[in-house]
Amino acid sequence: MIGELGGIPLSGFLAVSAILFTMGALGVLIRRNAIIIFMSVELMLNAANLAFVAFARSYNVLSGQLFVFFVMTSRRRRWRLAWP
Amino acid sequence: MNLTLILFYVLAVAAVATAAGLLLSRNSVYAALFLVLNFATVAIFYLLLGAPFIALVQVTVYAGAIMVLFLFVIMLLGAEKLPRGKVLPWQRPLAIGLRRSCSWRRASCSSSACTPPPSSPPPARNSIPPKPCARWAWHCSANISCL
Repeated sequence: MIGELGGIPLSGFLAVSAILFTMGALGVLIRRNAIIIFMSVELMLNAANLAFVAFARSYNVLSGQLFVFFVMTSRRRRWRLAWP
Repeated sequence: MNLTLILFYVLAVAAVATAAGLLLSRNSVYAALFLVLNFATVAIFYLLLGAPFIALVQVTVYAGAIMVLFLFVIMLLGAEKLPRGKVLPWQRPLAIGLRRSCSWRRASCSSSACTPPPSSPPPARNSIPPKPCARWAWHCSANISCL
C-alpha cells in the first residue's frame, strides 16, 4: 500500500516535510523578531500539512486531506495571528 | 527519470531555498514574500499529490489571507525597522566552554576505563545493559540546561 505517488516515492515527500519542519523550528529558535517567529510557525504547520496529504494519498484515504482542510481554515488560528 | 520526478526535485529545491530565504533575510517584508513563494511551491506539491482542492485552499487561505494579514501587520507596525535584540555577552563564551568540557568528557569516556573489556562473557538476555558513562551525561545535561 505504501508506494509511489505518480512516480515519486513517499519518502521524498516526507524528507521535504522534515526539512521544512526543521527549518521552521530553527527559525523559531534563532530569530528574535516576533513576526518572523510567527511565520516560522506557519512554515512548520505547512510541513506537517504536506506530510498529512502525502500519507493520505499513499494510503488512499481522505481523512488526511480533511484534517489539513480543517487545520488550514480554523478560526482559532486566525485569532492567534491577530494577536500582534 | 520521468518528468514528474524532475519537477519534484526542482520544487523540493525551491521549497528549501525559500525557507532558507525566510530564515536568513534581515528584512521582514522579504521574509514574508519568501514565505509566500514557499506556500506556492507547497501548493504545487499538493497538485502533484492529487489534492487539487487542498492546493487551491492553500493558495487562497495561506498565501491569500494569512500572508496578507502578516504584511498588514508588518506595514502598519513598521516591523521592518525593528532593531535586533540585545546579545548577552556572557552567553557565547559560556556555551563554548561547556561544549569543550562536554566533548572532553566524551573523549575521556570512550577510553577503555568506561567500556567493558571484550573478554567478559556476554550478558544474559534478561539482564540490564551496562550503564553509560555518567560523567559525560552530567556534563552534557549541564550544557543543555544552560541553553
